[in-house]
Amino acid sequence: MPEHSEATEQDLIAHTQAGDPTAFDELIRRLTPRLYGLVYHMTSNHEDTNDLLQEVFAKAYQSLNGFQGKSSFYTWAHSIAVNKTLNFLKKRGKRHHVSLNDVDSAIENDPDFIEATASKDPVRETDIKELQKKLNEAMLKLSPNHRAVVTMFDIQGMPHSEISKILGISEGTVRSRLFYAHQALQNYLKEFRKP
Amino acid sequence: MNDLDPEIAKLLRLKRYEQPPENYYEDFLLEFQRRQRVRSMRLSLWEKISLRFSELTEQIRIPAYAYAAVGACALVVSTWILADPSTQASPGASIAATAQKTIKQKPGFSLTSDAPSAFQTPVTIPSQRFVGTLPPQYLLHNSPVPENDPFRF
Repeated sequence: MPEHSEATEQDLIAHTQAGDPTAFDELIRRLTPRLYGLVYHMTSNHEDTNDLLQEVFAKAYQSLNGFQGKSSFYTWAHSIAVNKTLNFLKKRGKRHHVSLNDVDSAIENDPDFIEATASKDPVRETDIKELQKKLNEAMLKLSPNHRAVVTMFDIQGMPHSEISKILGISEGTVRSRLFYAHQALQNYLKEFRKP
Repeated sequence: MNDLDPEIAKLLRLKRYEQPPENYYEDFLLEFQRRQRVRSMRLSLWEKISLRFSELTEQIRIPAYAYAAVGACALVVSTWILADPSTQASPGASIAATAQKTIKQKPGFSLTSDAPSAFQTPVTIPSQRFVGTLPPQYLLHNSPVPENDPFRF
């Protein structure tokens, strides 16, 4: 069992600032699953996500002495991840990577997915799978800023206030971006939705 | 209020269950530790110092009035330098003074002496004003040049 598995976030930060790298390892263990989802749904590519997360944690480790605890470490690390990913997406431009299907196969065993497709109606099941594929494509068509808010709000379930802190924008701007992102998603998926 | 179609909202929520390959997270940590080791070995002494310095400066919050204080100090120092009378003499005068001093220091040299050589070394005549901008004057050959000199022009 890892040495710091029971320590609080503040303790881990203090230990890391005091020069104990194993405390930072524990922070990585706790944050990676959450940050993976955030970056992955913005990039839609596993390899890019892996590289970006390595950079995010390297940056966080270097900057941890400057972390003053004005926001939670969770929010601070998410800010680094979102900013790095947005910069990456702006540089990458329109080059799309669709490697979502490999990972999507994993959710077919998920209880929520089973419930959603439990109608025993093969037509409906095909429709949902098709819609999910189109949804992934539609996500890739959103601008990086819109994709970021959809990822945090609709996929990860973060509240508007948390998103506004991570992005450093007002809650009103978060709501506005979400509204336009939802409009865009629904327009892309218009022909696949049932009347 | 969520303005998104419920079916699309549900599918988006399902995406949170998408996971990377098995053992990814443990491998990720090992990869991070390996990259950090490589990085620390590659850093030169200077890079380590500059890294520590940048970390240190990130912690220091410089208040806005510090910039104003530095600006005011710079203004006072520059005013004092400009107001100092010892620095107000013209640069031409100081060059002339230097040149005269140099000539005086050469023993046995006179502008009026009869030099035995046919050609004397050019000597700059100092002037009190504009000496830095005027062309140098030369002492020419002592004997007159013959009129049938084929090379005269």
